[in-house]
Amino acid sequence: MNWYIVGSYAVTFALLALEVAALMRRRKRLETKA
Amino acid sequence: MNTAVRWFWFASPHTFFPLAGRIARWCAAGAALLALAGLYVGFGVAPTDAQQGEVYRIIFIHVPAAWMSMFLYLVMALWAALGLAFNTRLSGMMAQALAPTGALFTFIALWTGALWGKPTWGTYWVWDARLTSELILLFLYFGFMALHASIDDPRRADRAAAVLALVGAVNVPIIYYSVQWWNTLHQGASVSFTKAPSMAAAMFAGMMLMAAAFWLYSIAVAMVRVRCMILERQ
Repeated sequence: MNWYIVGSYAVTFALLALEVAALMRRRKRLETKA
Repeated sequence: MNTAVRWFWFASPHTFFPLAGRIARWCAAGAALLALAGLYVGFGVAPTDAQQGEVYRIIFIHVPAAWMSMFLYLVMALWAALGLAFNTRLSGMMAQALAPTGALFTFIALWTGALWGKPTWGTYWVWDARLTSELILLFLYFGFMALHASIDDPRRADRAAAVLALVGAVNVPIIYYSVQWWNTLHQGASVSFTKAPSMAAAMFAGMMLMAAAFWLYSIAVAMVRVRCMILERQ
């Protein structure tokens, strides 16, 4: 297994997923406040 | 209603809110499909590189992420300029919504570039013009977000950050042309508007699919973020 490839793809998709999760949480908080 | 009036109609956050929701849904679905297709082509179809071996497959995310980092900054600067010129509320929000995603793609470009550089160049990092100007781009995104966050009044924050976004836009052509202007360790462009790509068709296809996926992802995320901002600023 090439750990350079794994490290690149894992970190990239983890960061993108984190951004989406943070946005969903922000939206949910706003909806419950409204 | 003529076209110009319609643009201003959409510049109203209230009008744009439902449209942004529809755009986000379609773009998110498109991004997921294109990313799956890109991964399939990148790992299942594209051949092993004769010189670099398997590690070159990092370019399927590195190059699209680097493109998005520069493109999103220019779009952010464009919205910032529109906000300054026309004083439209939505423009500042759009610029603010793009900044975190632009910073994220800049970080991804630097991270994947480092992991590609180690096995290929023998080092994670060198202070060459391309890498350094890309790092400056990351700091410009951070500066934009920090400046915006430091001013309580969102309209004043929009205007102050817009000036920084416009001044920082000069860095984008420096990044793009750095490999031509200076003798860099980073290779020159393999893909450009003026000549055919210097790589196998399957490699090029995988890269373009991931670029399209990142593009749609950025639109979807920016739309969801701008909807949150509209609700928060109400």
